[in-house]
Amino acid sequence: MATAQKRITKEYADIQKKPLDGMRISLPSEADIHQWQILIDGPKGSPYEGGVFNLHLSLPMEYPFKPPTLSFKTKIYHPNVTNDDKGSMCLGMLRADEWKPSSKIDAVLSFAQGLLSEPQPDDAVEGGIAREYKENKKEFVKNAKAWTKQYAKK
Amino acid sequence: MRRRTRRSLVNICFFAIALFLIVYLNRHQPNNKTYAWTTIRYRTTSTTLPKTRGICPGLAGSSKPALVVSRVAADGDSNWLDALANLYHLCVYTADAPADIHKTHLQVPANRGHEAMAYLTFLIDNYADIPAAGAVFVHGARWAWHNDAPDYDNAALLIALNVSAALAPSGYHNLRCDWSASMCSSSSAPPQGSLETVLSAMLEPWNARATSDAALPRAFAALFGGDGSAVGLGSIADEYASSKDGGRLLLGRNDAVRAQCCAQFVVARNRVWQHSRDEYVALRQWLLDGSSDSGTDEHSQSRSVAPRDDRIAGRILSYLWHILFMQQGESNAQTSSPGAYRGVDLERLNTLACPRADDCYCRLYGRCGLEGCNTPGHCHGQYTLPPDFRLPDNWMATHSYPGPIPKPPKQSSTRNRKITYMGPIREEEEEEEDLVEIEARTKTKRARGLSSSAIPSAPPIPPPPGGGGSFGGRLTKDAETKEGDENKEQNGTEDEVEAEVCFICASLVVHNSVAPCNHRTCHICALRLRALYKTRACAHCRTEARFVIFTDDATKRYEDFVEADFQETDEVLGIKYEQKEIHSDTILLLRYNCPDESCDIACRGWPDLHRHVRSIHHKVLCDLCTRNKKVFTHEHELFTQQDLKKHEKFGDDHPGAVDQSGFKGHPECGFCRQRFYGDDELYTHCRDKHERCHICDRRNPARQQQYYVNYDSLEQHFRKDHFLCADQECMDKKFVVFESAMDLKAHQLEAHPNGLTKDARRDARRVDISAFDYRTPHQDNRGGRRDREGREGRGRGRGRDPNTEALPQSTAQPLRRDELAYQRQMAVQSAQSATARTFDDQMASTDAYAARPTGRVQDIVTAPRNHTTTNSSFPAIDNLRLDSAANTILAPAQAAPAVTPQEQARRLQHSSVMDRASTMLKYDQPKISDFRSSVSSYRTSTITASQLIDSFFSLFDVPSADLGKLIKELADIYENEAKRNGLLKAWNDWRAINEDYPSLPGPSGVLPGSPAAAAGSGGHRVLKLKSSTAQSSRSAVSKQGSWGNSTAANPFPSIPASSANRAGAGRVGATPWIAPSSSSRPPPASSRPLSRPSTSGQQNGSAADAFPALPAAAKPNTMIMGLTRGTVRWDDGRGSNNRANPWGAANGGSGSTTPAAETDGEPEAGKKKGKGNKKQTLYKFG
Repeated sequence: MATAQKRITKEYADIQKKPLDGMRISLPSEADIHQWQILIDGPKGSPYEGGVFNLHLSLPMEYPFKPPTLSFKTKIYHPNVTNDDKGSMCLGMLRADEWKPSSKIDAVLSFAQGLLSEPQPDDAVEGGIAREYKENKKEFVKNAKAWTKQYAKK
Repeated sequence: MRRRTRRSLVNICFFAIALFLIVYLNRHQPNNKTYAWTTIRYRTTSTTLPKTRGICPGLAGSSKPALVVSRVAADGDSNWLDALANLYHLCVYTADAPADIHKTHLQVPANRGHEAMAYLTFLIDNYADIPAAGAVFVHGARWAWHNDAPDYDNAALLIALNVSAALAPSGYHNLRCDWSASMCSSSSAPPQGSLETVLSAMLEPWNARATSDAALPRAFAALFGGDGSAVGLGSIADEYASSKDGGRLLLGRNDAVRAQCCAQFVVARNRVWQHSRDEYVALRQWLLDGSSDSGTDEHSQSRSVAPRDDRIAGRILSYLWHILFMQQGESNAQTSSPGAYRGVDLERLNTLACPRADDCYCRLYGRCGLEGCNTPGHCHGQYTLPPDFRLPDNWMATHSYPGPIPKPPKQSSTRNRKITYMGPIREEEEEEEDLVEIEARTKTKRARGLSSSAIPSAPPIPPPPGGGGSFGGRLTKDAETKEGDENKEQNGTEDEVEAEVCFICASLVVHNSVAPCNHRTCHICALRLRALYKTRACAHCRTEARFVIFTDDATKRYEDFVEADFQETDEVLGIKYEQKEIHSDTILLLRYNCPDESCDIACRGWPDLHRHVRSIHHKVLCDLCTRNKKVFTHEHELFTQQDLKKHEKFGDDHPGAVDQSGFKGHPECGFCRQRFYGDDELYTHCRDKHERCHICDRRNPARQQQYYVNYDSLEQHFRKDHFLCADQECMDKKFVVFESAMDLKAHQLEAHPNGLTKDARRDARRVDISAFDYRTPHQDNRGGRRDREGREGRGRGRGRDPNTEALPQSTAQPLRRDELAYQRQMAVQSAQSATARTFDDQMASTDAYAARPTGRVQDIVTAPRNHTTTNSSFPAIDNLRLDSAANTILAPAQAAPAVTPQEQARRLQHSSVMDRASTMLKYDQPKISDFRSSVSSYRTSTITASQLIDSFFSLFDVPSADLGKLIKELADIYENEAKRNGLLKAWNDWRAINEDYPSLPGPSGVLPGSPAAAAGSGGHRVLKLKSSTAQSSRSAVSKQGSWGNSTAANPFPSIPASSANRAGAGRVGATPWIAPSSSSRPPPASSRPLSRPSTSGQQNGSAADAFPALPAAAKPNTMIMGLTRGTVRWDDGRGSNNRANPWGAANGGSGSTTPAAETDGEPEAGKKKGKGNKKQTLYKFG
């Protein structure tokens, strides 16, 4: 669909022109602009610092009328990221009923980055981690650091 | 005798004659296939030659190739040629136009020989002025069955035609590539001179093809031989006699002139000049002489002139052109004088005249790398021979449109508005140009001295809410350059020049759409959202708007428009149009436009469109896409059948293509072989049409969804892997299946008590704990179990009807004292739970202890953690639900001290319910009071439970799971058990009806009368029915081979208790669980360390002691026990992946215990267990 491609191409060009801090964005396949690969550095001060997280952004055919999906390819100990092989990320703005066609991918990615610094346990997909985050932050930090070390090594 | 001899002779003679004929007719043809078809030597008998009246004006200096069009009035409008004027120098001859003797231009002497007369006239009268670029000879009709395009559109072909490439190989090329209807395929077309052709020409004189083929050899001989008398009819010898220039004239019987049909071709100038002008004159005379009004003596000429029948004459000539023009070899290239080369090598000529179709498409029309070119003469999807060699009568009508639709690359200057408009969506590349035009127009219109910077309050496109959006507003530099020269004159101000780009689709804005929030998009995006996505929400801020305004004013705010500004209003879509033009543009988008780029048809509906593309373009639309894809009609893609399959299966992956969509094909339902638009649709289908096993799903929520084709198949699975109630009633009800035999038994006792004898019932009530897997800290215990297995065998199968097998097994076992006690205990519990009562009833119920031995079984198992004594500390809030119920099973002695926390708990429950409700209602006071009043109406029985739930649905706008939580919590508050029950039942009923898996009970909550763990200071208690865990890990067990650990002879599967993975094997291992010695087999039971529920230690003497502690199961979602209203709740979201090895370090647990065992309490075990942050699970038989 022409619309989607045009918009995505534009956003991709914009992002390449003005890269987001702590993020490197590339296309796994030059031919398919609907799939993006994003490497996010663990934000400073977060338990993920020092790690590099590989994210996959999939833009639907109907983009921007349908939201993209974001998933972690790198395992991460985070209340908002499913702890399975999918690594789906739950972002409020990406939910079908909250998505706005005007939302841009860089906003989505910035939001994801922000979520690394500041998990949202109330919007969690991993209840256990969320609970730990809320009730036992120390333990959470410890675990998150351990995972970062184990899975998200630079 | 003589007569017989004579007869024999006659027969022999006949035979000989027949033989001779056969041999003669099939005699070997001379190998010499060189024909003397180099020069037209026909000598006309006519004394006068037509005057030169066919001059094509302006041809002399033309650098473009000539396009010689031979048309008749019936060909219709010749406007379509206008679009070609950029590419070709047009020479249009109208053969049947009334003769205008004063004109010298583009006239033909007679309407004869079809297109040949015009072609020849052109060649004769413009012989010296043929353009160096060559000449293209075509028919006058735009649409003709033989035009080699899917829609038979010659305009498109001529635009695509690469003349120089076509002329490169041999200076002549037929415009057709497909071999159908041509002489190219030897299988479909017999040689012209063959008996077969002659015969069919005789049998079917009306068959122009056969007749002309039969006439062709002689006609050629006459044309090239020159001497009409030399070609005597029926003369055999003349084949050789008529040879000239060392070649033959008459086509051999087995030889065929192979050529493309239909006489539309491109030819190079030097190939035209290969023949002298006189030759063309002679050829034309051959045609003219053959016509009835030629004035010559028909009879004498009949054998050498063109056949009278125009169809035949025309067709013969159509097989002549390549002989005249085609350059056969390198040697010939050097000969420049006409007729200098000697002879035509027929075989070589045939090869040249019939190039492979794929080569042809590529060379002529740039359609390279086509697929489906399995035969040399056909490429799938490129051309299909229409039935009866004719297009439908309405073809012209359905395809005629006022202007030249096809767009010659970068050259068309005469585009009508419609096309310009449609461009943007169809094609990226042209979009910009087109839009620029429109943009330019809009700009002019808009030139009111407004620069958008002048009105900062209303920027054309507001910045994105997320901030940082410099993306939209204004066009980038490159687009500005693209606007190019044509807009230069409008460079009024910098702002005006910048074309606007829609923030949403990144395309240039044609018309603006303004929403009440004053957010702007292009009208296409707005229409897309409204018409296709059916949402009235603003693309920027999601604000719903009843109307948006489509306007060309880039700055005017929504509120500044007045009703009078609108020319049109569309109530359905909610669009007000400021200009009629915008309205028509919008309507245009919503038509059923044919997706073909060069087709302007708008159909009446989908069926019509499907029919249209199939019949006209010989393509198909993807049905799933047309039904589901949210694009405008013309944005759909056309496929050939093959491409469609690929599209469905693999998506539109064109490696390397720029238009990758990421579409991976339409998923297929493995059962129905039916494809669905996307995964969501497939899911819906599977959900509606196929079955899933809720038990398996629950066991492993993370696994890939697995479906069963129908309930029968699922039922088989139930039989095989789970415990299906075999009772007919339940079979009819469906989904009455249990995870464990124990659940099934409990169900049977409850639902089908009549089917069992009293003994069987009693036995069924017994829980044979020897079946459970006692996992003790020390491995050496395994030995004992193994011994037992050895003795008892592992005969217990799974999942079959327990009525027949499982129950009787234990009947003969003598009951130990403690078991008997347990049975009594069970009876008490069931009696209690069977009675509707409040907490205060409890004491009375306990009185009924021994007196009510029958009733339902209650299997309650507790795995208490981290608590010391029941009443020593205040219950934690998240345990409240358990708490109230837990007290009901505590010892009566403890009831009194528990009252205070009980009430406090209730208060807390109240407030937590209200909190939840208010949160869900978003603190909307009126709604909250509605909620309160509904709840109290239910309490006072003003409304029924289902009415209450209905009112909740109207009140709450939340997922049913959330509502479920609220209802469960609410139910806990009701002290009246009937109310509580009723509410939960109503909720479960609702779920059963409205949710996927009818038998799946709610995820949390406590049923009335359900026993629960005593409140502990840590608040983490687990009530667990072990059987569920056992069942749930069956498959894992058998895989791991630890199934064998359970006693085979026991009717119940062993129960793994498995805090293990989470809690750590070491810790668990250290827990000295002691099982109550309730095994049906005392020796083994006593020989192993028996697990001891830690509860018993703290709840001395209480009835609740009867419930042994069992460790928590690792499996997170073992929610239910199969009974319809069994419930479970867990407080802890952790450990969802922990069920990998539920057996690994499981503590031995027991599904039953006895009061006798209570003295074995081990408080430290309880403490240790309690440290784990485990799920709290409560199972309940309703």
